[in-house]
Amino acid sequence: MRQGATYAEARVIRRTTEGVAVLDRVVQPVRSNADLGFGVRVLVNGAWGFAASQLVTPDEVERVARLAVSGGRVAAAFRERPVEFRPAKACRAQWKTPIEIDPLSVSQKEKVELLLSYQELAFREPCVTNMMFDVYSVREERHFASSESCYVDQELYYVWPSFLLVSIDEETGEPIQRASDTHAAAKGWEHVQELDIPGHIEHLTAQLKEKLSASPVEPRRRALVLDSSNLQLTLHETIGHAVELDLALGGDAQSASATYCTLDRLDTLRLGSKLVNVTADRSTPGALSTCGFDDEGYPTETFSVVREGLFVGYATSASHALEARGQRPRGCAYAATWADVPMLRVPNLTLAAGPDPVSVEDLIAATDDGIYLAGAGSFSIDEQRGNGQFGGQVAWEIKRGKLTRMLRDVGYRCSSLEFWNSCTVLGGPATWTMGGTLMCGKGDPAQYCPSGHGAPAARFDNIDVFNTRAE
Amino acid sequence: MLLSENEAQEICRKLLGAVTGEDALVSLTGMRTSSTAFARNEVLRTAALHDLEVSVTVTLAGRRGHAVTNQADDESLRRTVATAERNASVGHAEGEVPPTLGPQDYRQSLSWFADAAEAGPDAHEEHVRRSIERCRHEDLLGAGTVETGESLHAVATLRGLFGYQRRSRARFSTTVRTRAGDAAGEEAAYGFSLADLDSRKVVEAAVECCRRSRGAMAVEPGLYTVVFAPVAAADVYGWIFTQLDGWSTEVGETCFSQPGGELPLGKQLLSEKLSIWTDPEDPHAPAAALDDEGLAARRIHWVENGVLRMLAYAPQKAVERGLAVVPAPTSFILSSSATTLDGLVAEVDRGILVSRTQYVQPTDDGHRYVVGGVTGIGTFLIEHGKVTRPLLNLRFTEDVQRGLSELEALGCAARTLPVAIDAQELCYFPSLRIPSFRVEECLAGV
Repeated sequence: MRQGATYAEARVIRRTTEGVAVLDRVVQPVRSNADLGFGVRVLVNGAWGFAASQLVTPDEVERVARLAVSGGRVAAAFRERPVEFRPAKACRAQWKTPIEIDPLSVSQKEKVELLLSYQELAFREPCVTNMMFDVYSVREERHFASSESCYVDQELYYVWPSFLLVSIDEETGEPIQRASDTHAAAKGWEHVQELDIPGHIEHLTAQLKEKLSASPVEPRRRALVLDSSNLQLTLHETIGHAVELDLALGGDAQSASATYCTLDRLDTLRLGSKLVNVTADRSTPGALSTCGFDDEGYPTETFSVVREGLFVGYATSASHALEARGQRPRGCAYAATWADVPMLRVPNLTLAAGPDPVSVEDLIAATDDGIYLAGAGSFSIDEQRGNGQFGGQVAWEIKRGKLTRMLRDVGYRCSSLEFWNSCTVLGGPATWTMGGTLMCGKGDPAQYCPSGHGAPAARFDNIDVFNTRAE
Repeated sequence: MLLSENEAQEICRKLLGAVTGEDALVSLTGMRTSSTAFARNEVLRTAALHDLEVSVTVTLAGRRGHAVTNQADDESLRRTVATAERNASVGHAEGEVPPTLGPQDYRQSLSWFADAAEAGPDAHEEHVRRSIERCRHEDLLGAGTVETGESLHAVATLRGLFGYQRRSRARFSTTVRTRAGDAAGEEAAYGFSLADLDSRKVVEAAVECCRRSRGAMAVEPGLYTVVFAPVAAADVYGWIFTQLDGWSTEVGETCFSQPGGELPLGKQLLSEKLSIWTDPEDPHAPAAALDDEGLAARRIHWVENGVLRMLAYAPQKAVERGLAVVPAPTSFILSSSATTLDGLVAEVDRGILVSRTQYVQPTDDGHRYVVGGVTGIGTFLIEHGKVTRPLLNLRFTEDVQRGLSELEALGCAARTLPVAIDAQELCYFPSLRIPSFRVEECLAGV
């Protein structure tokens, strides 16, 4: 502030991670990473400057702060109007991910033995030729301080168990894969214990075996019954990023990014059918975006994004909210590491389940001609988030309300608006699950953040299904 | 400041001195960058970053462990070595662990320039001003990033290897849009020196593309002859780089895989017009002098006139197979010609010019040579050898090997950062003319 800044904030982040993996009964080298550093962001003459360093010493703090201020001065020369920013109010707060067992306190030996036992379960099925099982554990200590006397200390935890099963198609010699549906969570080691991993392995090895004789999908339009494990990513990509306010304002650091949810369409755009209700939050227990405060010191909150199909809300942060009429900060700023500028990120996004106890089997039974698709696969989406294509892990043909045969190479393409307006049946609460990714990318330079997305199973009519191998 | 060679060597010496195992590889990766981001004709922020990563891999009684820190004080270094050794103690003996390398003879390329290494926001001003002032004059909205900086990579082993390389980088990208959002242009320049950033040329190309993009129309899905500008060509066909792995080819995972796992080295698998190589001394896209294991880079021909000549083998797989290690490359150079984009277009009766793409990804994780994506800014219809009309964005699916087997012509090349490569190393990719390219659907945006 002595250098002329009108506002300053600093983040000190210590991140400790550990990766334990077993490949084909062989323990892979354990990966441990300890990372520490700080970032300083300042407002100078109405413009932002930022600098960061891994060297946490008084002299380096002084140097980096000066660097941030001098950068802000350069930026100010290119602004016609000052940055509109409302800092978080003075506070002293702590928040910690509620965990039962610190994942980094569990011995590596215990983890290795558990993973080896999982491998033995998988290799009981003779068709399994390879299996990789990986558990990634994270502890983050985030300390935020601002010139407005806002001090926030947070301790965040994440655990991500995942596995990949591989079999070889004897006819073609090609590997056939089934990746697990086990997702990362903001939990302690209890996440691994709560998941029924042995049951999941048994279920997926059976699917892998069936996949060996699956028929290639015939491209054409038809109904899709999407399992929660598949719909989560589609929700995140087609609605999640689309409702980030910085994109509606004309892009941020990723210069070509935009959104079909433009400012003039708020409260008027029929984004989905009347069944579609989408909420954003950073408070769902165990969900990946869950924390107490965002990286601008704002408390997190829950808000509607889509209500009965109507687009009604943006994800916002203090850095962008005041640029759009009627918006206010909703605690969605996130700096991936100490080296990153806080960026507006969509928080946990959840599509509400239908009120009735509709099961996946009910959705299938109500479908005359369609495909049931489960598991997350590859995806691609345009910069306006208006048109995407998505794959999956396993798919079955539905004929007259029954699953007939497994299909392979199934993908679907959709305009975001057509897709959500074609949602005709929602699964009930029992079909709803929360998933997410630790690696949601955005920006230039790119940042990767944890992001939760929850959805029930649901049916979508008249969707363009294609063959992912272009057959 | 980044660590000097002597400072890096001293840290490596301390790390190796703390090792009790029979073998060890330590590496340092340092970075110093400065960036200026702008959008809507205003600078959003400047950012400066200094980071250092210290990585230790120890072999202890035939088992390996790994640990990383970003602190270089003596206590952190000792703790990191101890963590790596503790990690090794829980592992399995992996059969024959490949030994670390001894001294290497490195070929240093001309890829460090003080002007880019030391440039801060002040040095970015000229480029940002050029874009913003041009956009304001044309009543367009400009966005983009200027990024400069340097990196270091040092590797040392208990067997006496020490390698050190410092490289600089410079990047300027800009996107311009009309206020109505109905037309856009995009261009970028990459290099190692500020002299590589011809921002006047970049800005004029983006503005001209935007001007020509107004009034975009739809085309029917189907098969088209497509001319790709180098950046777009690299994002679609750069996925061929992920296929150049020997082990993955043996187990059936690449487009080069053969029944029975035989390696098709020496076979004509791509167009005879196409060669792909890596070269640490190439002036356009010099490969890093040393890889993560400290192995010295050399000129390697992966594909020669369409014939597959070499596949990469990581150390562990090479030991298992009794083969020499072939490092997985992080940068590539492709054959090209002096033919301009207009020259490639001139031979097309009816087709499409693609300048940029968006989100090109494999459509199936198991087959990373079939990709899907969307054309981006600068998609145009070609009629009777000329670019005639702007087009709306198009969704496509492409088998990368098919395209590179059937390609009609190679044109002039440019430095690019293909999406298929994570390493942020520059490649030198040509413009391409590809027949029978499948357009799946026409989208709403430009």
